[in-house]
Amino acid sequence: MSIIKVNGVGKLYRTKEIETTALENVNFTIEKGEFVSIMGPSGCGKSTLLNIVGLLDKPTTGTVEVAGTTTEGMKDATLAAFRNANIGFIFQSFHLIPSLSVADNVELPLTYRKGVSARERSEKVREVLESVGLSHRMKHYPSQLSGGQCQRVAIARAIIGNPEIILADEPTGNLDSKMSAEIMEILHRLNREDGRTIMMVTHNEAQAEETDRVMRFFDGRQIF
Amino acid sequence: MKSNIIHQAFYDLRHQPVIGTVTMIGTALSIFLIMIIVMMHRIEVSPFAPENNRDRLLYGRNLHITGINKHNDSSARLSAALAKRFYDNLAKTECTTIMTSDAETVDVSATGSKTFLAYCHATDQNFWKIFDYEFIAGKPYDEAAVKAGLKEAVIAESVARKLFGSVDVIGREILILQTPYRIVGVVEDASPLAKASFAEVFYPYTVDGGKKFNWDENGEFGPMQAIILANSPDDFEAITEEVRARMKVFDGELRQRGDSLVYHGQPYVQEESNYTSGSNLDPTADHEKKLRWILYGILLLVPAINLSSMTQSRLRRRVSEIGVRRAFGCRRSRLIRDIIAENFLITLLGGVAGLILCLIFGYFFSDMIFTDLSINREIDLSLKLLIDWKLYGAALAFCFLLNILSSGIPAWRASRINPVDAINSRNI
Repeated sequence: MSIIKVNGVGKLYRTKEIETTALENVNFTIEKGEFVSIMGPSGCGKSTLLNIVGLLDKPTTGTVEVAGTTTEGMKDATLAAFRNANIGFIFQSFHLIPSLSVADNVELPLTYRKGVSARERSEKVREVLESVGLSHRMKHYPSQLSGGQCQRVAIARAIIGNPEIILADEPTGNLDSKMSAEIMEILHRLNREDGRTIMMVTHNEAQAEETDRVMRFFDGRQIF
Repeated sequence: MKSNIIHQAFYDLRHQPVIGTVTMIGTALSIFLIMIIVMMHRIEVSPFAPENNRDRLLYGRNLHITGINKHNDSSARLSAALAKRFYDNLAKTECTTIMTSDAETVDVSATGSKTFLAYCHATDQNFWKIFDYEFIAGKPYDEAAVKAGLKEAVIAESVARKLFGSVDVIGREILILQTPYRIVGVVEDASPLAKASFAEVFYPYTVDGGKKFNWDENGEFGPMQAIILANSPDDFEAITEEVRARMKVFDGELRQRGDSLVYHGQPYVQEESNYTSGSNLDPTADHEKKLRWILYGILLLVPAINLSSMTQSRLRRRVSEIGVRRAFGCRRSRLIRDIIAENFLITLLGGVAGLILCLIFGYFFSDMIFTDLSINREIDLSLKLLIDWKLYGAALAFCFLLNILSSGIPAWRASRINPVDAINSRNI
């Protein structure tokens, strides 16, 4: 069963002087529970694609269907609620909020969801932090954590809302090999054990090879 | 989530101390200046002892007679007789006092004491019903004393101590303009801010037949006023109608001799009464109110523009965070609300500082604030006057307004940023 369908997606950036094609006629589907890597040189449109699939950006042409819903024409508030329910993001630079504790960072997506009590949120925070091995760091702040720990907090934040899809943009790009391995292990576990669909941008050939499928891009086009 | 907003506000203050401090000082100064104006205005109109009934008072004090052919024009305060004719024994009132319009400074002394100037009001017995002077000794002069024009006086505690070194002075004599009066009561000193009722010596206006209080041969002009205590502010309209009917009769009499009466909207409510600059002019309360609001606007807008750019600058450092929040499902409206709430905390801290500054200034430097007061006495702006929930409510409302003005646009702009640009920290 397809959980992501990308049909003829193109993305054009226009400025006064120039037009840049970031993506051109991209078509693919990702099945539920699949772990897909996206590879390609810098500037080939990998992150742009991830942003479009993550409903953070809109394609210039084509359509995107996520979790059985065509997202075209959705209003901002509906898109926000849809992202909150269905998609978790992991970024290369973690993007944790420095003013918030680990627990508050992880809790963030649930605070934007209606009908989740403070108690439920707190229980869920503990549960997901335990699953990434950081329950003892709940009250710490991002500045007090290592890079690997920060990325584990970011993973906990991505999964707390129980989304079906996780979009990871070079999740190990800022980490050393040991920490990278730890993060990849967690991602594989989420895919294997929880059945989450993962779409990951990476430059690491070895990591890509460990996933179910690799999609390669060059100059905005999917090459295979 | 509320705690997150608090964390964020304090995090901003800790990590951008210069911007945070300037924001707080700017807010504090703005609120301080606004609160001083609010406080000055409130003291003009709000009830406080002895003028606890201000919200039920109506004032009639001016008489403006003009020739139908404009050949003559006279205006002044009322004579006692005309004040009574217009304003005494009205329906829907508790009572009316006929009293001098302005406190007069007169020489007072006692046998063996030095003479000094004291503020005096000549009143009737109803003065003591309308104004809540606290009697330390004795009692007010009564209706019989006023009817008989007895030379009785009520004096303030400070006058009693100055003249006799004690407040145990009931039955003793005080010389008012070298005329002996028997002291029947001693009252606590009132604040000179109680403009309508403040004096240090009081005596019946009927002394010597009240001749002093009727200036002209027609018995129309004088130095008097009437202060009406209505049953309720809801009765003001009916009372005014009754007064106007009486004035109309008087106007008819004037027209027979070629004159007419100019009403100038009398009787006045408390605020109008404070803003009448001449007996031949309309009250300027509406104009003053407009000026006050313009001043509030300036005092809010100028710092708001500055604070707005500081809020923008604070948000610029948080641009990727805004993108992350949006990515995880934060709606634009929620983002705006959160930013405004965070900013409100900082504004509130500045506002509290401004309010404290205002209270300190009001308490210690009230002489500087009330320089236009005609009474030359030390002003003791008591804590009772300063500690006022309405004042705090006004401060909070101004903080909130300042916050909306200073953070609304930056918050709205932050909410419009594309999440991808925000995450990648491309500027807002």
